[in-house]
Amino acid sequence: MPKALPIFFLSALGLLTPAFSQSVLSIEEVMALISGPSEGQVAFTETKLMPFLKEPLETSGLLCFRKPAFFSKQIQRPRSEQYDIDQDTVFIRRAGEEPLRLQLTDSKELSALTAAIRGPLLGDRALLERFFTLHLGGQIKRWTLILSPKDAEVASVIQEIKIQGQNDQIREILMREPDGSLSTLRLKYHP
Amino acid sequence: MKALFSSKRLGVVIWIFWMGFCLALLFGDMRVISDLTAFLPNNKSLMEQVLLRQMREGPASRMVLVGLGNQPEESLARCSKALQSNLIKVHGIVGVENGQQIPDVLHQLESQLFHYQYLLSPDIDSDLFSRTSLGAALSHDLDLLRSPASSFEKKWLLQDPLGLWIHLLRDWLWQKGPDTRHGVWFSGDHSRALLVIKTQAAGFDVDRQATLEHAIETAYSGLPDCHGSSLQLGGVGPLSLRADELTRGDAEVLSLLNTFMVLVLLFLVYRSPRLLILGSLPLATGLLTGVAVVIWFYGSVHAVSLAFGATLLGVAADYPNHFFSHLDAHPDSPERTLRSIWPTLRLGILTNILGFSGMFFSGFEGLAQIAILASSGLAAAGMTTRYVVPSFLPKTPPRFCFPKGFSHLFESMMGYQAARWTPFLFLFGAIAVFMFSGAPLWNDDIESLSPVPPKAKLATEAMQIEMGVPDLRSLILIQGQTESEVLERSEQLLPILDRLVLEGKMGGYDAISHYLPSQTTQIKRLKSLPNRQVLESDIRWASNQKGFTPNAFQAFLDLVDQSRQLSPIDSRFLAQTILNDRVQNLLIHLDQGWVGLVPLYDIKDPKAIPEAIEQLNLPSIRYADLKEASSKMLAHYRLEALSLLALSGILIYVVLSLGLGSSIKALRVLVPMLLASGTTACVMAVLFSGLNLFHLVSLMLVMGLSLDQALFFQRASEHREERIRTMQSLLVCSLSSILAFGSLALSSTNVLKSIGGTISIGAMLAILFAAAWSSRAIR
Repeated sequence: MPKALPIFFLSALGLLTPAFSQSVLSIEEVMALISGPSEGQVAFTETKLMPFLKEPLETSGLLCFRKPAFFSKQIQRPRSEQYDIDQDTVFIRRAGEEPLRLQLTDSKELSALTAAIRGPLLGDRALLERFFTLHLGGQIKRWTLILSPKDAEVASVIQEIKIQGQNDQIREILMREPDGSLSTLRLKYHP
Repeated sequence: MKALFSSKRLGVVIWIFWMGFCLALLFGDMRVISDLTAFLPNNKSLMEQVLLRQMREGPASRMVLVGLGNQPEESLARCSKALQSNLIKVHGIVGVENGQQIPDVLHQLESQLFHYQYLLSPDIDSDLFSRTSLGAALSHDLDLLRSPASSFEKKWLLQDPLGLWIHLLRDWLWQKGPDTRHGVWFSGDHSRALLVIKTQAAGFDVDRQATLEHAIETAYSGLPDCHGSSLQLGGVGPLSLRADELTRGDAEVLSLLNTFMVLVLLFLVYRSPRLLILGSLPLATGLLTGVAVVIWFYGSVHAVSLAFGATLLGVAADYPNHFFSHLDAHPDSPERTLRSIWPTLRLGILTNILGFSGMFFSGFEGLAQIAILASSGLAAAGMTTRYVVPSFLPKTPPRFCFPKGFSHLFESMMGYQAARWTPFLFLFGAIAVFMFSGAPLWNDDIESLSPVPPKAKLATEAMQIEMGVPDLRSLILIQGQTESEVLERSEQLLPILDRLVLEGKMGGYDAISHYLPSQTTQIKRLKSLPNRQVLESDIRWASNQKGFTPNAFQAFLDLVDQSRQLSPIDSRFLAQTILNDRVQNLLIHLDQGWVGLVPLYDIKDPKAIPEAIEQLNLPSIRYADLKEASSKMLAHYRLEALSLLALSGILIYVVLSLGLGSSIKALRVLVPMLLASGTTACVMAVLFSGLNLFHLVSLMLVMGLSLDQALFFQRASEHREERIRTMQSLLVCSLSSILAFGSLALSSTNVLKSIGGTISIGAMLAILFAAAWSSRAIR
């Protein structure tokens, strides 16, 4: 028995070591993982909880992206709406209304909000770091990227954003706002 | 002899003092006003005052449009931002906009006016607060909350569930500005970055605009971000500058040319530099005197009056010529000659002054100044010729030397046996051509007076369309005794204008009641606000229906409570907000009352608007076409100038009859002059599609010149020897006039062409007709 112990220990160590090295994840790796394809689309459902609403609001639709800087949120239910962002400009199309055009550069808060969703899907770390400090936790099988606003302007609309993912897929984007509102965006991938 | 000598001396001494005095006055006090619209009159009618003020100081005239091109978008955007922050510091620039200011504007509007929305919003009526209406509003709000913009919409929604503020903003900021790229304005094809500079100086103030343009160009060339790009300026200011430069450039070159040619001619004739210098003394004295007198009375002189007055003084250039050409080799000749021609010369000077001084009574300050300048100048020139020039002549003046070519010309002129009716033939021929051509007699188009190069004009127009600047020509004017009256009438007018926009007759309009409702309307709105209990119960019902918590809209209830306590606002209140920019140009307070201006944008059917206004049949609301109004003003002056001229004509006839001793002789002098002027007028009307103000003034000069000539012809017909000398002098006078002004006819600008053409043709005809009318007497 005493002669087998060191071998037991050694093998135990050997077993443990691969698990250890696997769990030290870096932001680069995660960003590289999730931003593989140069374009794509994914279905979503979004739930918004607000302190002055009795029930949460729900929408569902499609998210599309195309590198380097095109991103689109197409809401299909309950009403049809489309928000396209290209570079600095946002195009808004709502059923029954005239299309609207906004400049992201006009509003830092708006730029930060759109960056939080656009950045991960397009793999644009620089865009995220313009407005947020990034903090990564968890392992490759289940990771969480936390975005905290860098300055007061952005902090006035966003308290914190949590991006949860598994391997190379983003599963959920949770946004907490200073007044207590919480919005959860769940991405659904086809098997 | 001694007595003569001392009186000679006296004349010179007085002259020297007088010149010194004038020079001192000018060096001390000389102010030339080049503001073209200050040249226009002070009319008593309220509407005309406002129109004038619009033209002079209207916001459109204070905008300089800037286009940056020739570089990729990001580069131009950087240049635009750098230029904006740089130019804002320049003295004389009130504001520089390039699109970056919009978020700031929105913030300021919000902080200043959000709490007054229940006074300002056009949506307020008693139905707005019904349960149905509230319910519909909350449904719409839920949609907004579902959208990605919910993070922003939330805070507004809870205070303003009905969306009143957003509607207000859309009403106020309806104008489609240019596209924005990289945070700044760009043209539609994204090839040029656009900026608008608001200046303190009005567009027509040429001097200030020149300084400003220089400052802009200096700032631009000093920015590294703008290296390699191109700069284009447009708008009323830059266009006025281009026009001014063009006219001035031509005038300078051509003046040098014609001065040179005249000097050569005179030198060939007199062969004496001394005579040449002496000959210029009366004109110089006249000019100095004329300007000094105007400055003495007005404190300043208009640039246009200076130019025209100096032109009219050209008559004085002939005075010494008449004198010199009658000299002979006799030592006593100067005094003798002078005494013999002085009566005729004096009569000529007197009639010239009478002719020009009539304009003094015009309501047009510019014309009055021309009258004073010309009359006093001619008087001084006459005095100089009589009392100063002889003193400086050498004891034995050199004789005239006409080159061989000239002598042949003489012989033919001496044999000029034309019948008296030849000039009438010319006149009738000219009238026939005029009638056939169908040209109008008068051209009151103010644009034909200003020589703006067409390329510059088109560039400015293109930029104006991109920037959404209103059509500068058409406005509606609303008159009232008080501010309230104007606001109420404006509110009456709006539905009609809205209809015109809907029908596609025009692109849009801006009116004061868009921003400031009348007191009556504001009070009505406040009265429609329900009391707190009712509103609270209704909003709770709607909240419950749509899924909001019962107390969600406390902030809204508080806002309505606050609004109930408000008193109506007026223009003074708005003047302190950021809306002042818009509002100050839409409502004007004058001594006699208030005027609301309604600028019209993108007019598609120009007749529809005045028709609609006429149908209203309200005397206090008028449609104004600035171009038409300025043409009418020009026509008014023209009529005034003509009637004054006619009056002086009668006076001249009387003076001539007395001076010449017979009314028939007076007629013989006047008729050829009138025939020559009439013929010239017809020719010019055909060539220029109507006579303009410059033609009129030039014709006056021609009349002055030909009057003098005819007087001398009349006199000379008594002695044949004299007649030869007179002919020589008249030839010299005519040739010098033709050379001096003929070169102006070669200019590319309408102004100079009008003046040059009229005077050269007129001078030529004048001498021919005057000769035709006196030759009979000798035979």
